[in-house]
Amino acid sequence: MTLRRRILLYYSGTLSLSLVIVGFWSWFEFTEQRNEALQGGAEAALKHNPLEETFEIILYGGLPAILLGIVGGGLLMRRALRPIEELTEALERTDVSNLSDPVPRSGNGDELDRMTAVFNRMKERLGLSFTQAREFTLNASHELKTPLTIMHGTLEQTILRSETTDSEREGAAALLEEVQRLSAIVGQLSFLARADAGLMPLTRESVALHDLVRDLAEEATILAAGADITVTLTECQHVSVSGDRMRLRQVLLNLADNAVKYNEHGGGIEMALQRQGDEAVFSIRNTGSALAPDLEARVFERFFRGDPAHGGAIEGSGLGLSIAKSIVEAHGGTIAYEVLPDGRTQVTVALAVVLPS
Amino acid sequence: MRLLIVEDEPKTAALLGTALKQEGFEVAWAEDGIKGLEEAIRGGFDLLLVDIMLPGLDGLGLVRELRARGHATPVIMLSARGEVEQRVEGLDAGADDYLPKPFAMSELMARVRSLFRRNSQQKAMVHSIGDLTFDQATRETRRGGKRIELSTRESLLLECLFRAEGSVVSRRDIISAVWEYDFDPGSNLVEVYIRRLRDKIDREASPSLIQTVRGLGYALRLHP
Repeated sequence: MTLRRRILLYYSGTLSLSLVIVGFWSWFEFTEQRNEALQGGAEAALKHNPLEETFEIILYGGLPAILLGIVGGGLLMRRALRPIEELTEALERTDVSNLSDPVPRSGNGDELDRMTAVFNRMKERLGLSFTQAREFTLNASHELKTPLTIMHGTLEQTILRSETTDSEREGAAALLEEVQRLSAIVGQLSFLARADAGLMPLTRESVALHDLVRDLAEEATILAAGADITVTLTECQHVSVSGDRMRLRQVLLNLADNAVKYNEHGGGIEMALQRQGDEAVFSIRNTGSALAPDLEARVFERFFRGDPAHGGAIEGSGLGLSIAKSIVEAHGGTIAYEVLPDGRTQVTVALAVVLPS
Repeated sequence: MRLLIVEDEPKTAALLGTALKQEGFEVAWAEDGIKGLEEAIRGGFDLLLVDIMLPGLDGLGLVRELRARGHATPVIMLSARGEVEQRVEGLDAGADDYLPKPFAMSELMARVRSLFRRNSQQKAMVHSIGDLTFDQATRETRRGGKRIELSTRESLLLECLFRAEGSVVSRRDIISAVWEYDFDPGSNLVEVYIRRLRDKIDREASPSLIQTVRGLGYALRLHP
């Protein structure tokens, strides 16, 4: 039955019941008056005040009818609105991860059931296009790898051949560098596509984060020395997390590398590893021109490289932070970017600690 | 030295063939897994290069089958698929090494050389070139008799260059040998360390031994 018909039916039912109650009470009143008139004549009939009688009919007949209408209508509305509420909740729960799970249908063929069906179809199509986009990236990067290998090999041979002239060698080397850049981007894209599909292979073990951070500080010091940037490890509490050592090193190195690249000559980098409750929190702060506030939210977007004034001259694909984010999230952690009031840029990574069992 | 390439993509196979012939190998080619397996079983090869994605029988199946039949010929797997877990799968199947596409020919040559070295069990413990000596066990480094102090990473870098015996070592091979990263760190880590190593080894002496081959990588040799 459609919802409209159900509401109409219940509405008519309530109305009829109210009429029956009012009718019954009026009948009772009129019968009483008639009997009294028959027994005591006009005198007796006159002692009834029409106003009082009407009031009585309203009080004993109309009031229950109104109450019935309110209670019944309330119940009806609740029943009618429940599927809408359920649907709203289902819509609220919908995100990229559950596009393939349909919202449960009542199956009674009413308007809401049809709406759920439409919504499910929309979810399905959306899910399909997400999958297609993901698979496209995965396939495209896969298909690009073989031609890249061939280009790389051919250029290498040109460079190594003795009959190649210096200017040809120079040209081939320039091309080769571009091929390598392209290869790196293809590799990063295929990593991200796999991560999106939930296929990031993680070899989980207990990782002493403080060791990784200490190594990182050393590495960063060497990387930063060329630009006179001072690297300080302000705090390094002993804390272990469950994760893939290689991937965590990748995240840390990426953050340190950014802190060097987007810094200024003679600037500074501060790192800290702290345990905060059940979380290991690594933060890295660097000097250098910070991003405009309206761009902050976009730093984790793919191929985002800041405004031209900020990162135009800096080498990189703009995929590093997206990769860092996907790794941290695959570990169930969080990563955040912010510009501090003193103008420094800070990235914070929080991961759940391993509790000693 | 005879080498079998099992690869369904003719261009890649041709490229591998040319590069390996230049290095003095005798090269045979099989274009699918079944032919590859037959050829490999017939024997006479010192090394197999096997692509993972093959028509007929895939590369993993080929190696498994070959090992099951008791053939110990060294195998290097080539693949364009995902890197980490395929490496594990490949090595589990019985391959000796794994090279993800896109790769540089110099990387492949480095793997081939290191496999042959592993098989022939000849490991020079003290390397030398010109007046530079490096003891792999004690990490003692001397140039012209003068002792040079190297950090762990710097000595790993020097060792990795020595192992290539004058050939070019790619950035990726340096990264995996010195840092054991399986990813491209995107930073100029390698360049910075090469500079540091040059400062210690080449600054006060000549000729310069660490050479940059633009686009390819670095080589440790006396002459360009």
